[in-house]
Amino acid sequence: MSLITFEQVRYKKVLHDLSFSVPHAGIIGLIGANGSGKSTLLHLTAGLIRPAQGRIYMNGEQVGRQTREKVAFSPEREWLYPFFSVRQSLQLAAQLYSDFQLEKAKALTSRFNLDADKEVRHLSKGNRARLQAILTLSRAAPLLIMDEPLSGLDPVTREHLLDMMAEHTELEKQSIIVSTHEVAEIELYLDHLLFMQDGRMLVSANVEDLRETRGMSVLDVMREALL
Amino acid sequence: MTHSFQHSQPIYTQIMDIFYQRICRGELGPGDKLPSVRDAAVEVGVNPNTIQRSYMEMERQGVVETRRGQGTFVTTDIELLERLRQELARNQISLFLESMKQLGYSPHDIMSMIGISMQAKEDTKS
Repeated sequence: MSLITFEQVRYKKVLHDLSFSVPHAGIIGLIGANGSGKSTLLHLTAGLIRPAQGRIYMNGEQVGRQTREKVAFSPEREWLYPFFSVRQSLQLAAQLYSDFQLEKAKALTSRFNLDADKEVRHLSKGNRARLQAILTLSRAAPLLIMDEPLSGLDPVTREHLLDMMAEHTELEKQSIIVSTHEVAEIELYLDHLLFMQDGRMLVSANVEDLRETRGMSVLDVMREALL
Repeated sequence: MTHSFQHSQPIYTQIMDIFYQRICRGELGPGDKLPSVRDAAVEVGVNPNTIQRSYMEMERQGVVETRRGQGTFVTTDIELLERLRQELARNQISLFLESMKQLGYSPHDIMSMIGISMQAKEDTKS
């Protein structure tokens, strides 16, 4: 049973007849330029929007209202309440999501030195991004989705976030999809590469297979796909 | 610690190389515990599944063993570790000899050049 399958999915003018599948669980990188359809694909996978045509499956189940609670979705824009403290942000998440692991979230905030009493609006941009990642990683949902979690952040924060995902996604029972347009820094963290352009999926492949059977890096494969 | 990986080669084999080097140097001795998969993933900056795969492969080769609930340990089979070390050394030597051959050096030239380089290194030390 595949983690995700798209069958001839059409959505507005963004995706036309898109078919692909991600066969195994793990860390999945969704790479593509701005406007390539990454965000639309993630919203469709999370069941937040519906395709005009085609079918989408997650772990064998057709995506719809009933699969929504199995996905922890972190949108690209900041979604924290600025006037909430770090602690209140965690409490709110615990009330909203039945699968939220408050103890894990508390441990992560203290590990990353986020002051529980500080209001979100007084946190640095990097720390707001950390808090947002913690709130997503603390959900026990089988699929975590992070839309552009690294964009607009400094290199140290980006590396922190990638390490946090690698360490705290519970890969025995969870998968995570991360979209980005920066390949180089995410490459070593990936199990599976999805590479999109203009609403089409140019590459869907296991990255260690690419290296092992074809002697190609993620960048090599993307270059080849663009030729 | 950061590592530079060859991105067009499987990462799990490169991670095995890193651990084998540590074991051969004695940094990780017989019976020593390897870091947990997650800790190693963060330390090296890669996917935990990749670390898991390299641990499994090292276990298949008999160099490490996983004890349920306790972690992964370097084998206490000292002979096997010595064979591993010699094999890795032989690999390095044949790689070196092949590159020297590509540069057109004869075995005799190579031997004397090694002697000279070693001597120069000794001299700068003292």
